[in-house]
Amino acid sequence: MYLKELKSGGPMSFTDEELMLQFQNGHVEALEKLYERYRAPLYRFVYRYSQDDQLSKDIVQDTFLKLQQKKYYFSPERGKLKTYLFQIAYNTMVTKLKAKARWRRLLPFLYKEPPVFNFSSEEKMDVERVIRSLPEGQRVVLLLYYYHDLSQHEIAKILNIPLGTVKSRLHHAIQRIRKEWGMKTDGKGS
Amino acid sequence: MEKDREIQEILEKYSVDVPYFPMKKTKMDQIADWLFHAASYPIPEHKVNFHLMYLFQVTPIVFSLMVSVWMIL
Repeated sequence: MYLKELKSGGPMSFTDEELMLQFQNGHVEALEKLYERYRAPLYRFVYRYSQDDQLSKDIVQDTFLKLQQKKYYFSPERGKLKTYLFQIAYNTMVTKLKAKARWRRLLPFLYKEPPVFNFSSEEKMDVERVIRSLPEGQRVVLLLYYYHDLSQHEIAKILNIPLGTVKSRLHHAIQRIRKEWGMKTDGKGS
Repeated sequence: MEKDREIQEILEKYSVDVPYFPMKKTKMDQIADWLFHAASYPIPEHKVNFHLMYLFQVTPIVFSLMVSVWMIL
């Protein structure tokens, strides 16, 4: 009955943690369900951070590969699966971007900037530009907080930084966006 | 702690279309990943700078020139 529900996809709706538990017990269908749920959010997170389509796909695939390899490391008592997945994705992304930057610094003639085909609206491009202009630390906090509904505690856990740092980065990011948009900078902030 | 609604409205304008891609990488992608996987660094990163790279490139040329001059003389 349980497995039948899982395969058919409903009417019973499982939480992320229940699906992970089923995957830990050997039900591969549960992992597929988790992939369906998190493919898009993880892709959007990496894409908004890096503006690199291929890198975003790679990171999502690597995140799920790591989830399979380290499936027994996850425990619902330690936190939500969503936090765990974003943590894997963020760490993988940072490692790849560092390696890329190192290669670019040592062998600049081999590195070619990928062409940007942007047919987006002007407003969308403005937001994209402002997000890209934020320092990396502020950018990642802003993305996780506003686009992925993660709490400041969860963000602190994902980035492995103190809660105070999350608050301060968020505050500065918001002030910067307000300034770019010509809004009052003494708004609610964080 | 509440979210700043004005900021939320601005950020919502940046939507991202997600293309379809499978969970598992193709064999070619896996081989490419293996080939280009970051290897452990033999030299500490802070010591590798432009001057050191320049030295690595120039030293063999200088050495071969010196050997050639020595052979001629």
